[in-house]
Amino acid sequence: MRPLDFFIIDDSEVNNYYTEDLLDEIDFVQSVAVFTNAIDALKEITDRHAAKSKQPDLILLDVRMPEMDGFEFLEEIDQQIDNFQDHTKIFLLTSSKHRHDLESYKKQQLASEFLNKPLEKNQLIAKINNHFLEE
Amino acid sequence: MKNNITIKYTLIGFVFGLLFPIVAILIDCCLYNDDAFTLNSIVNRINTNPIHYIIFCAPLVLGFVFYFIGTVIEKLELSNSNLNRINIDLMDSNKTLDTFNYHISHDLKTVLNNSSALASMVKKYNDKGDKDKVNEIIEKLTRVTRNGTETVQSFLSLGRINTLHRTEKKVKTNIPKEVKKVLEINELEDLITISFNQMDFETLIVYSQLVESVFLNFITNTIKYNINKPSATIDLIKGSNCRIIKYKDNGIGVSEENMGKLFEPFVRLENNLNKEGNGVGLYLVKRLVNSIGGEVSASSKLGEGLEFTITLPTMKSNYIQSSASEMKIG
Repeated sequence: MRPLDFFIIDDSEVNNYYTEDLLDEIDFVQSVAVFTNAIDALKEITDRHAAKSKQPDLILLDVRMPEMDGFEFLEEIDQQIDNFQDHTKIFLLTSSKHRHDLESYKKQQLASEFLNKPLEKNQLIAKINNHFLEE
Repeated sequence: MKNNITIKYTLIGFVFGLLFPIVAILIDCCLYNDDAFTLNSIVNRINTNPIHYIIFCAPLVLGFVFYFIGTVIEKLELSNSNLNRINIDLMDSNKTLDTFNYHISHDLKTVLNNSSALASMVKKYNDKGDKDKVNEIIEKLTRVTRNGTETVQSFLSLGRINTLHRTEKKVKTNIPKEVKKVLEINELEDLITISFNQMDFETLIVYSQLVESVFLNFITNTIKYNINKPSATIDLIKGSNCRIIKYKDNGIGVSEENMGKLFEPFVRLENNLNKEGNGVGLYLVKRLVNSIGGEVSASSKLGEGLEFTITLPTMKSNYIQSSASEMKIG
């Protein structure tokens, strides 16, 4: 597995604390950047896109956030950057999967997994392997 | 006053009633009158057959009959529109319940998930013998459970609003004493300084839960969203036909663009302090105040604190005790 750069986008300080700690234990994790709101993360991604800088390999994106939620973030990315999913995988995270969220997940194209919080280390590694081992 | 349907049907009846004798007489004359078809012959025919005089009452009779038909149709339409309105209200209620269910299940699960995540970290670092880290995690765990308690309390209070008038009695409530009680019960005395400025009145007759929930939400918001030592001032102002409660804090305030969303349910506003809320508190305040016919508004500038104004009516309601004796400080 090649080294991977991560973004965590979640307004929950506790969840970020936990997820960062979890990623810290995984050997192929090269870097982790934490954003507590989707607007700042979107700006970082569009800035990198404009500067043609490297985007993160994997984004762990919370669904329910104030101001801009996970699905709104995906819509913005979809509108502003073509084929973003070719270089960056997005895993959606939620505390409870509601049918509305599942419907929204099925409608979109950018996120490739929809996982429950808190993340479980082995499950996360398995999902990452599914997407990155083939490379 | 009857509406258009009844008037329309009455007119139709009346017009039919007018046409009926004319047509009846013409038919009668055509079939049974051997004379030439003139006005005189028609008048003669009418005079020879007295039943025609009765027929002249048709406009009145049919007018009345159609008036009653119109009244019945009007009542049916009214019932139908009431049923439609109830149906729309029920659909709205279902939608609200669905949203409520979505948020309550999400928020409660978040508390449980965060607790479970932190508990697993405690185990991991305890096994590693890292006591400092364990203590750090336990501190976070304590905050999570406290937030969870607040969340449950907010949701429970929200659920009780609709039954307030059945389950609770309005009681004479001394505002300064109630605020002091809120601080004591919730162990917030050391976390905030509250002072009363203008005190035109002190006592209201309201549901006790109302005053407690309103001030608890204001106070916890002031403490939570603050970079200074939290403080707030309260003014109790006697207006004409109303009582006004102003609560002003020294918190981080809310930007102009977000002010419109302040009282919306389940809307959590972005804040630089990265504090987690459940988006229920101020919605609960609004619902409680509205439930007794009052209004709540807010004004703020980012970085300059928030000011809430609650206006409660005194006229045509007995929510507020207005006699001077009861406004004396107890």
